[in-house]
Amino acid sequence: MTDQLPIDQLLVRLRREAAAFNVPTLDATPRRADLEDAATAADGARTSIRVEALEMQLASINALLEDLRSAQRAQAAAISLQQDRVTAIGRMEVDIRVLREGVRTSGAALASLSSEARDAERREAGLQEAGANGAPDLDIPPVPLGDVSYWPRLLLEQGDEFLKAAYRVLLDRDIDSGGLDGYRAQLAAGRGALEVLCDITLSDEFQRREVDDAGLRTYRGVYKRARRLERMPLLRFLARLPRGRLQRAESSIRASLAAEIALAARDHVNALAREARSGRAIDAAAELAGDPCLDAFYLAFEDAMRGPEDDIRAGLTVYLDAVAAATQRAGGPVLDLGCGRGEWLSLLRDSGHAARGIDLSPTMVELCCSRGHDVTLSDALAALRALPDNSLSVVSGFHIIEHLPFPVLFAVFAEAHRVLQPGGLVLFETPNPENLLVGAHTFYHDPTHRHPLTPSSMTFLAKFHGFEDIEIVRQRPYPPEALVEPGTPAADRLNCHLYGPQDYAILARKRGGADEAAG
Amino acid sequence: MRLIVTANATPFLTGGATYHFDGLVAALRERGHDVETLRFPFTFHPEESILRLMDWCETLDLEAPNGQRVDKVISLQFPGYGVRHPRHVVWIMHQHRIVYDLYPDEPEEAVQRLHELIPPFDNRVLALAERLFANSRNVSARLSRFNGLAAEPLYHPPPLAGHFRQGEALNYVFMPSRMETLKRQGLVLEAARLWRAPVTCVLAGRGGLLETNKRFIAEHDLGERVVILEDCPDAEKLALYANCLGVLYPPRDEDYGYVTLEAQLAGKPVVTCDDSGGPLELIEDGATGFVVAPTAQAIADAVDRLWDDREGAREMGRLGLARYQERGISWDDVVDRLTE
Repeated sequence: MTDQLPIDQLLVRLRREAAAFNVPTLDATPRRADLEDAATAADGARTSIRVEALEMQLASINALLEDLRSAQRAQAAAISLQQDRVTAIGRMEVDIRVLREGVRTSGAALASLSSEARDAERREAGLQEAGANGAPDLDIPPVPLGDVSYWPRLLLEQGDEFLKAAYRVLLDRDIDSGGLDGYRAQLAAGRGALEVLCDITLSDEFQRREVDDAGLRTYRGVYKRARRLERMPLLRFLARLPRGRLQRAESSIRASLAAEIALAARDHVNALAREARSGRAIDAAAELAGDPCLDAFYLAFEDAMRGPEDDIRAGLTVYLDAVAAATQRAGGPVLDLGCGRGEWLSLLRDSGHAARGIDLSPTMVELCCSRGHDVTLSDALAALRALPDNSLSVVSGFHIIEHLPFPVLFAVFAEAHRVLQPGGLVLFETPNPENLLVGAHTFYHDPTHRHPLTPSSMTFLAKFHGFEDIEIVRQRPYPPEALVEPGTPAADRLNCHLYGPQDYAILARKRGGADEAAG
Repeated sequence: MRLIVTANATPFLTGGATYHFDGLVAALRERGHDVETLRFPFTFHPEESILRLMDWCETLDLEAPNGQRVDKVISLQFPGYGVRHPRHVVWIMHQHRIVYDLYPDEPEEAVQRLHELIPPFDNRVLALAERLFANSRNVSARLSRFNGLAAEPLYHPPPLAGHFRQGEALNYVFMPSRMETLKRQGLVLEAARLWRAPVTCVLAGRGGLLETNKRFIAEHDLGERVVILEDCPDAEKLALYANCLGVLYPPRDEDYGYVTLEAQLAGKPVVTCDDSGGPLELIEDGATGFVVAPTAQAIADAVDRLWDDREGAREMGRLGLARYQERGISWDDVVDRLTE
């Protein structure tokens, strides 16, 4: 092995040796060589002309190559643009699908809500005007047979549903199996839904109906152009232009419909949410109000528990000064929520104040109206919501706020603040739980009471909503004969806790008003 | 003379046949003949394409195509030698070997069909030829054995015959051949593992077995002993011939084999096998090279002998060159014989 030359050295040496061979090139670049041989052998001038011609040819080939290259680049750019578009359309379709799904599920949720609401309405046995503030109808309407103007909405459907609906709308009939199979195959092959609609309207059957739609006519024109081009072998590639236009139109129609639906759905949701809130608020009262037997019970109950009307009227007079001051500061009538038998309305009328009332009990409403009062059947919150801003001088309510669930009570304060004129007054009277006998016992005589409301929490609630000059007026302590023999601290405390005022009223003022402006 | 030379065209598949054809046409033109060439597109698959070409050639009358008189047609290959001309000279490179000496033991149906149709075709058309020559004695022997036809062996020089030189022997043996099964590089690679001499093996060429051979070299850690030159320009090939210790040429039943002639032109001994065909006509064992059994060990032993007796190897090379010159192989002679 001693004298074996390493392979790399061997090859270097051989290549050096190879350089010494002068070989006619049989295998490498023979063309150029041939050309040169020819040049020496043939007439020099003629050859140089040939070479020149060849070079010119070469130059023109280069120019051609450059043209081809730039055409290729343009083509590549167009392709990538098209791909971007396809991606964008794909993304849009996904968005639309998500929207549709959203609409469908919220539709289902809303439908169940609305059916609850309808149940409530039914309970009211037609006595209350159905849907006055109620839910919009959420039933998805069936595809209108033969109404061509409906066509854009067809694009929201997919697959067989789309084809069935398209036949109903455009041809005024159910799809036949031939049509279904044919178009199904076309859709599967990537044909757009709008193209299918155009295709259907090209049929004699559609033309015979002699109905049409301007938009549809336009797209049909584009579609016809695409079809014409497709039939011409040399121009077939141009068909993708009208095709693309139809695809873009389809996407944009679908997108705008989806946006419309989403907006409508949002309104539905809001309306139903409102209805749901108020619907639940009136639940208990509505249950009572809805049943004539219960209604009668309540009437009798009030009679039994509240005492004679005259006594009540006497208890109400204490508030007249405050009402007079308020009507002076702020214009507009008094609205009494839950006016009942109308004692307060009578007192106001007698004192020269314009006053209206609402109540949930048809019996009460009837009674009040018979006495000449302006009273309508409504719940408190709905009545307030129906009023414009700054339109009342006083919002009053006697023994109603303890019937309301807190969210409704909260909304009642807010709405009251809104509808009152600056300087206007809210006045709510309610059992006083500072009296332990009331808080623990008599409050619960009324089965429709929710829970006692303390003066402190009502004060805070009023303040929270922007009311000022909040005053708590405590009323109707137990008669002196009920008290424990007074004189000792223990007896005083006992009397205060057990036999103090049984009701209180919260009076609170909306900021502003005539006297402030004057002062 | 107005001559037509026919052969096959197998685009981008060049080898000995291409050189042979080009050499002949150049030589005929050199001698002032007016030569047109006809090359028939030949595809090995599907087999029906071969049958169609046979039919087509056999109906091609070249006596005076388009009214143009043709003095003689010289055909080199199957099935082009089926064309008709009253003065048709066929100089057979080789027959369609798959239906003759390479006919498999269990042939496919298509090959069976060729086997049924080609020998009668050969018998029919070759009998019509005015003169019948063979590329080598080996090809002539096959014609005699399979078709009962007598063909005169007619040798021609390899390409670049005038450019070979004899140089100092370096410590490598050289094997220039396409890497195909019949060339048996595998045998040489096996042998390279066995020879004791500090001799490198240089393989030049490409082909279907290139990757297999590379893999063999990697697997047997032969990187220090064997090198493959895939791209080997003519000048390099001439240098490789000029400076090798000897040439390895162990194909299976080669028709003719330029390598033998080239090695002798470079003054080098040739190691070949006793079943290698063409080379055996030109190599005399122990005088101008070694004729050994087709085994790795036998080839390895031959390489060791070349190395151990480098002076003897040089002598064998010198004698080979002398024999080549004695044979008087030249295009001039070929042209004389073909245009008699």
